[in-house]
Amino acid sequence: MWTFALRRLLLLIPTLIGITLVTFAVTRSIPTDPVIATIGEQAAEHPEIVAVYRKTWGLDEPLPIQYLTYVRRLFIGDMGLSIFTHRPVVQDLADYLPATIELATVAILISILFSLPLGIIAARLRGGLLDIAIRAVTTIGVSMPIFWLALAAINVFYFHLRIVPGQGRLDSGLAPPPSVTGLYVIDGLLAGDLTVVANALSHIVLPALVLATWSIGLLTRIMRTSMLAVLHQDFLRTVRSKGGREFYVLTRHALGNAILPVVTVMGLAFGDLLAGSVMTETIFGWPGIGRYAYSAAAHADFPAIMGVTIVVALVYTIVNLAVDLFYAVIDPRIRAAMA
Amino acid sequence: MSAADMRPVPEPRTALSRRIAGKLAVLREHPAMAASLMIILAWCILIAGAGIFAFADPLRPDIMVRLKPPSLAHPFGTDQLGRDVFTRVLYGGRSTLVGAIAVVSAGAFIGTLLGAVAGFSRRWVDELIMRITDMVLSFPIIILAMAIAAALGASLAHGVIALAAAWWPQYARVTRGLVLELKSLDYVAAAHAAGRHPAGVLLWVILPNALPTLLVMAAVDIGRAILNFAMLSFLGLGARPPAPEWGAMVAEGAQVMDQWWVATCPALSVLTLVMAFNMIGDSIRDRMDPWLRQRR
Amino acid sequence: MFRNGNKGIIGAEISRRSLLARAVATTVFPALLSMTGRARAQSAPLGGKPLIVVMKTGSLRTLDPNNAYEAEWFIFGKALYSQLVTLRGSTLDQVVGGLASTWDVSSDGLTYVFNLNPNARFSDGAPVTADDLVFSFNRFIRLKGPGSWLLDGVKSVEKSGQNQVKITLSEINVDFLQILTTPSLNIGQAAPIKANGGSDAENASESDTARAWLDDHSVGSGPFILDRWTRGSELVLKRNPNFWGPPAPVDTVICKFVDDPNIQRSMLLAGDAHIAVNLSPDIASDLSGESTVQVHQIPALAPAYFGWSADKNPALRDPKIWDALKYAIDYEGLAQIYLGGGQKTGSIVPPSLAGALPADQAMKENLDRAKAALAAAGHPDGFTMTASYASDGSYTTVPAPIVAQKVAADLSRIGITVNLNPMLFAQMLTDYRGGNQEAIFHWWSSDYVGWTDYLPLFAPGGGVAKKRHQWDVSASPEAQKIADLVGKAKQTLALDAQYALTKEAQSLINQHGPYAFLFETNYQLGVRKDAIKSLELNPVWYFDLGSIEFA
Repeated sequence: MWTFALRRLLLLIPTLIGITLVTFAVTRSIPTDPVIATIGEQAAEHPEIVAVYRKTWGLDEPLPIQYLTYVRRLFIGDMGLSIFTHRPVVQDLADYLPATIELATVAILISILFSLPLGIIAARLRGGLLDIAIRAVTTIGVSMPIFWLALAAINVFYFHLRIVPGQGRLDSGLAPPPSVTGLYVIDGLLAGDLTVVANALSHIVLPALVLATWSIGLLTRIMRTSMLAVLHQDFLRTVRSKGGREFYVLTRHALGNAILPVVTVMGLAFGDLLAGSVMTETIFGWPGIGRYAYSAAAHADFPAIMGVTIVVALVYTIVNLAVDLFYAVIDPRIRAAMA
Repeated sequence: MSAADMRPVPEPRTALSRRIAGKLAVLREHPAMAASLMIILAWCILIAGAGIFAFADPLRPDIMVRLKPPSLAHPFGTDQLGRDVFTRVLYGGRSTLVGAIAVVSAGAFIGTLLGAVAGFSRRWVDELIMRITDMVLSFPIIILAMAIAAALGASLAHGVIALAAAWWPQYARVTRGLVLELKSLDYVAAAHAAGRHPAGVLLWVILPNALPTLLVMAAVDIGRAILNFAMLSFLGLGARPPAPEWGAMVAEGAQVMDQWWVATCPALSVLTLVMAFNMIGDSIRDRMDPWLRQRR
Repeated sequence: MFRNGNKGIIGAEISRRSLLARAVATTVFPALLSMTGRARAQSAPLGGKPLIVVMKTGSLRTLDPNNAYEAEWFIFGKALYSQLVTLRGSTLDQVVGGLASTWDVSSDGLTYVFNLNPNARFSDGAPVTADDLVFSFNRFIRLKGPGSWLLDGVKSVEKSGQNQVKITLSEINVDFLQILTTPSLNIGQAAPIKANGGSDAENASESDTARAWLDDHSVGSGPFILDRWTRGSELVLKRNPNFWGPPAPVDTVICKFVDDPNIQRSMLLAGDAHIAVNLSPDIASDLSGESTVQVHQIPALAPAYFGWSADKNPALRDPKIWDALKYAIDYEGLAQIYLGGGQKTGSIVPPSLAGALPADQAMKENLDRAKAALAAAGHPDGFTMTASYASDGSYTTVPAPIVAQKVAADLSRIGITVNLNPMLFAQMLTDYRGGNQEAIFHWWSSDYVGWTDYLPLFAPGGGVAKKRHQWDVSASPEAQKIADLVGKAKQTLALDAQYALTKEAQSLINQHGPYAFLFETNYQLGVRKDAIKSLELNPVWYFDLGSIEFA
């Protein structure tokens, strides 16, 4: 199994190269000139200013050379300068990625917290009132347009009820904790600054809940479906007839088998959360890479687009690797097949 | 297996009226399914017959009545240009629904095929397909959609292409996972042992068992497709204004949240329609599982 | 432009000019001094809490005083750094002393001599010297940042005495002083900039590395200093303890970056913000009923227009048909859309600038004339055209898609079918600048406060007219006349004559040009009445942080 993991990690490199190639081709086929788009109307009429920009980003070289230069620099960790922010893309990402990871992680944790028990209950009490109620709520969850929900949530919980704080990751004027991971909750704990931790948590609750609405709905339903498929299998009948208590039946025996599609979807959901964070981040003023990615795409900021895509790809692939390994750990048959 | 499980399924009665009665009995027993079918039917009728049911021009602005709240004259109020929101919701449903169905169909078809092949084939084929899947999955959908729209121009069709291109990987992944799980089950081994051709095992034994989960996924997905259209329309990459489309209407209405009806009415339309699809998906899954059918 | 009210050519007026300059300085300083008294009286405004301003992130890219140029930067440029001359509030045609207390302009308009205020200090207490100014201006030019063209036509910047700087131009620029008020032409402290990799050498665009450091440290002489910039979140300013003018009215200013006007409004009403900068028209008009909030409008100097190419659509090749487009638009109806976020504009030069065509001479809807123009050009039943707009764009705060749909619907009344083509802003701009757009909804935002930033570009042969709309002086005798009028106006130093020329040119552009000027746009700021008594609003830097009067 470990050779499997190792091989997958090694395969990461050609995958990433492939991604850079595809991204490069796709973004450079957009007929937008980022230099012209970024500098002012009058500046664009000044060839020497445009020339300086082009030279800084190597845009005067032929495309294949630009690509090779990019890959070469990538190996030493240089993702170039963002055309829009003029900062190293690596620095932009270091600023914005942790915010999204923090948000997505909290959202996933909330999702798991709710969806596993709800899905199990709904499957076990199939047809009952609780099942119907759970299914109704989760159905609403997956059917909701997220940015309308975000605006409505802010309107209700922030503006009218005042039970959550406003925009951003922290209250106005509260300085972020010294950066170790970029996750304010973790960094705050490491620095022993509980005010910051509490404040960061209070700011993350609503956007994470909004972001999680969809995945709670989805995961609960998948959990329920998967659980239903497993619950009627004969081996459970055996356990029950041996006098096993219901809880034991559900968690020890059924859950293990039911969880496989859920884990798959969770892995997918994580990637989707990263991508779908664009709306949430924009509305909640969350300075994360969802917002950064949108801004990069809107400005045809090639280095930023490449950087975001590569990082998202990296995170996504690692999460999927974890999912696959989880499969192997859970299901001995798959482990055997892998060997 | 108990005796109860060995009871044969009753033969279908031939008389048409009795068959219809049988189907209606099913609906009576599944109120959720009935309700959602009715909702979908109602929406389809309303949307298809928008010319009949709507009473205003969805495109012509009437500045004097802009941002009026819901009333008898305007059941859903008017938007920033004074256009009747109810009318626009009906007409807009066309773009939204047709586009979403197209995306899911294309994406599911491609994805299921690739995923099944991956799960069932040799290691290197599996790896290759999965790496391509990963690549496409990790590509931020926004950038892909924006690139396609930028290169080809913004329109409904191009929005469908862009979304479909990003849609298939999830089907491939889930299908592969299901195939992997199912192919190690005993009855599959039995089919192999019985000498069935591998492709036949894949198509007729494994896939039908994977189908319930995939169908639920597809049904839920139409909702997600509609929601993703909202995002594309927000970027101006979906149906071209002034042609109405639910996502674009929610985006426009988001600018005037005080006038809640402009955004909320199309949002609730999305909600009800998507909920109906989800509930149907649930019911389909329940129906297709033979054991569950008997247990009822 | 320093308008001294003198009619006639400068010539021998030089001494009167400098006298008047000194007069302005002596009136400004007592005003400032009395403000100090006022500031002392309200020693703890807002109960000691920071002032919170919410604004859009926009394109704020850097805080380097010699490189930053974005609309969102100017409020910070004005707060952190000093400029040679500046404007007070919304009096846009009166340039007043900033770092320079007096100045002289030569009779040929090519040499400007500025006398710096000897009391000026940087935030660390060091005096502001002529060397710092020369360094900053040279660095500004040689970094070749996006605003560097502002000093086009400057032949040299040199120290001409203790606390004196001489700037020589290679050609007359009637708006040169106006340009100098822009908070892109900041004076930064040369020593720390150089110590952190800054350079004003000829190759500065390649050798300078101070930008990153300047993004986190301010080295200016303004009323505030930079505390920190958490990108995408907030920017915090603190009072400059060594400011050489009246102290900043508040100790801490927090600028939160919030893109959604709904949320800006929510924060304002909830008391989590004192000033909201980017209220949209409907939100601002809804606030008129609130007792806690006051809405202030300031013209943004960014008129929105609908323009088309002279030779992309066969139907539009005949200039006679252009009248059909201009007269078919329901300008009054548009007013119901932009509400307080816009106002009528006579022509391309915004109404608040000297030299603008009065707003009552704006185009008016006239369907009969529009139809007649169609018929005369041989298209009595109309024609089809394509027009682009920025799907993610807005005219200051008025959403572009709404305006585009309205105008398209207006034109459809006389049979012109407009196929709307929404594009992402960046892409549309690339296309437009490349001269590839058939028709477009766009706006022209100011780089500095003067008509020369607008009119010459839209006149035939100008940068916008020729390259983007294919309207050149050769198009018609009227086109040549317009170009001549504008060219003459640029050289006319006498104000009345200058403005007469610009107004005539604009009137002719209205009649003969491939544009319909839709409306000028306004910023609408929401201000909490219980916190703030008055603000000095300005189209370039929204409002002056250094001169807020608290309640």
